[in-house]
Amino acid sequence: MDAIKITEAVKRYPEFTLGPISMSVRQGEFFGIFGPPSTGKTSILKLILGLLSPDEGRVEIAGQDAAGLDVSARGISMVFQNLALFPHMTGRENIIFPLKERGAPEAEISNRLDMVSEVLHVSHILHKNPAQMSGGERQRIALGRAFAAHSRAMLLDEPIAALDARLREEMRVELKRLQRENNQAFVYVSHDEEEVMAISDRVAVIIGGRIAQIGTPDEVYTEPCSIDVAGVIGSPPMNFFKGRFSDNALHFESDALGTRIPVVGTTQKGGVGTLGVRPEDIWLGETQGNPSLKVRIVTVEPLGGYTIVNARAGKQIVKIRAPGQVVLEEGAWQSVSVDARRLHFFGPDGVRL
Amino acid sequence: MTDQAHTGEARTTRPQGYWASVARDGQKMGFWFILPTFLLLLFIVVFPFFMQLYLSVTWWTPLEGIPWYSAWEVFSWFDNYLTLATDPRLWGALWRTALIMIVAVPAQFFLGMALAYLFIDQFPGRKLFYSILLTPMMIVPAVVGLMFFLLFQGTGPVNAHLGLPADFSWLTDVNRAMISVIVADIWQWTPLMFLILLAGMLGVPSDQLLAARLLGGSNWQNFVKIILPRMKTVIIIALVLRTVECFKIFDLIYIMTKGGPGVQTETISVFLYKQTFGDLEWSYVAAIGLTILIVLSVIAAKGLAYMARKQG
Repeated sequence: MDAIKITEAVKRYPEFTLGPISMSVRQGEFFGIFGPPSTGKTSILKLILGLLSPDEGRVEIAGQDAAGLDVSARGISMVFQNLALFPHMTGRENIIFPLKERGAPEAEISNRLDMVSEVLHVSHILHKNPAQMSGGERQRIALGRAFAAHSRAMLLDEPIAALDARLREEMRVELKRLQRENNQAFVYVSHDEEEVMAISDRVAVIIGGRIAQIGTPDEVYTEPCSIDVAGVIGSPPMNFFKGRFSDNALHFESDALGTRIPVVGTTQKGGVGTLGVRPEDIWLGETQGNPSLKVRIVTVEPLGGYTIVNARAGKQIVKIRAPGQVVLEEGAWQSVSVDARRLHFFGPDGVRL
Repeated sequence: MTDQAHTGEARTTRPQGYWASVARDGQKMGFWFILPTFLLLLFIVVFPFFMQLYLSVTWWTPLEGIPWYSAWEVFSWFDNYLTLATDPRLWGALWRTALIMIVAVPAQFFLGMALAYLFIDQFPGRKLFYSILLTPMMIVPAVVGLMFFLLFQGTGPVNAHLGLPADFSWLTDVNRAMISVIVADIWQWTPLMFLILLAGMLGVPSDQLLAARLLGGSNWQNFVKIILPRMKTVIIIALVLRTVECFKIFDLIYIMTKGGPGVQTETISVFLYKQTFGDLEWSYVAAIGLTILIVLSVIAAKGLAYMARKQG
């Protein structure tokens, strides 16, 4: 059953239209929503929460039309970006707040508190006020409060964006574990592509108020359905080469490449298009059976596990992600080859061919 | 050569003497900077205080025929203090001041809170209503006094609206005079409460309110559990501010009733004013003023200590 289902929902603002949005989140699924800033991610959460009502289309919660349901009746909890902990309450009071509000019996409250604090490892900070906690501790209390509510689904709006990098990675693992243990539906919103890809079962890529693509992180990465998606997923971003297809649909030609790339899998005859190549699919040196080209090295960024090489091909900069550490002289000519199996061709309208 | 000339020049231009040492020594210079203010303060705070203390232990009045500094000629020990301890008019004035505080301040608080709650959300015309609501506190209190003086006349609008006869008096009635004064004070100062409380209410982050709503709290529960605790400081400030102001209430009463009928609306300020400029009992007023100062200082110190203890 779908925990959350949005069908053809449209919300119009004076200068921005969200949708039509169609997506469903299955029970027990970790669903990521990714998109550049201010593309309507939070508006989708608001639609689910009921803070916004769609102008068209419908929102269903657990198979039930949510149109008439009040925010508090939807059984959805949320972790806010700034956590929104109640600063005048201790960790314990924060966590049991939803239970108290519901008038749950004392026994249930203490059971639930024990369970939540065990799962989140917060027993030792329950007596503290949020102001006395570290960022990670506050994060756990906020999660605990959302868990204690016993909700159908959990929305997380950039919940770990404010933490430092190391803690973010820890919390990522933690979140996934909690989600699996509770078998709850999670909707996770972030503008950090790596975070969403790492944690989600499926990802919706939102661009300009519309869902550009929904799929597993792997699908979205290896088969982006448009230039827009290909451009926002992956870091460093995909290299794009504008050019045209040969009339016999066998080759793609681009001024920047200076070579003809054999086209596989499409039958585009003539016309302009774009070739996308991920930085890791460009290899230093020539390789058997792969098209190669000459580039001029501009800068080299050694990053430990891999090296980013910025090179000039024709008039444009090409980013190459080479494994390990490589030594290249800036300004030197270098021949590189592109992985012929992992080329992305897009038509003139930016749609994947 | 040039080096020597340079150092020689430097030596001759170095300042000498006391004022130079003042200029060099920051602390000494600072003293001279604060001296004028210090002297001024001495005259407007310290000198009157001792003058008051001095007069309060004499029988001196401006009618005595001797200048105030010769008041020792009519030295009276603590007679003024003994008098004030048993002066029914003084105690009555204190009680009436307290009554106004007890009634008006909570009324202003609850009205202000209710109005602020209405103004949390946006609605059409919010700015207009906001401006209109704030008008009363911008009016000079004496003018408000005059307004209510006119409103509460026997033939005035209040009686007309309530369908009361013209001989149904407010300002000259033993009980209703106080009601009129309190109503005027509430009318004028509810806006200030509203303003402060609304600021406090808007200071509660909307995410926290939304979180509380999502977690199942009703509006009333959220108000009590989330909004009120977060407004604690603002509420204390608003209440203290209004209580202190209320203690000093004068203009409204002086214009509306002159403390009458009889002494029925005579508050401490009105009483002191009458004693000073009506009866010219300056030494007695000095004793009262000092006593109130000491009592209030003790209360304030205790209150501050209590709050400090609670916070720590």
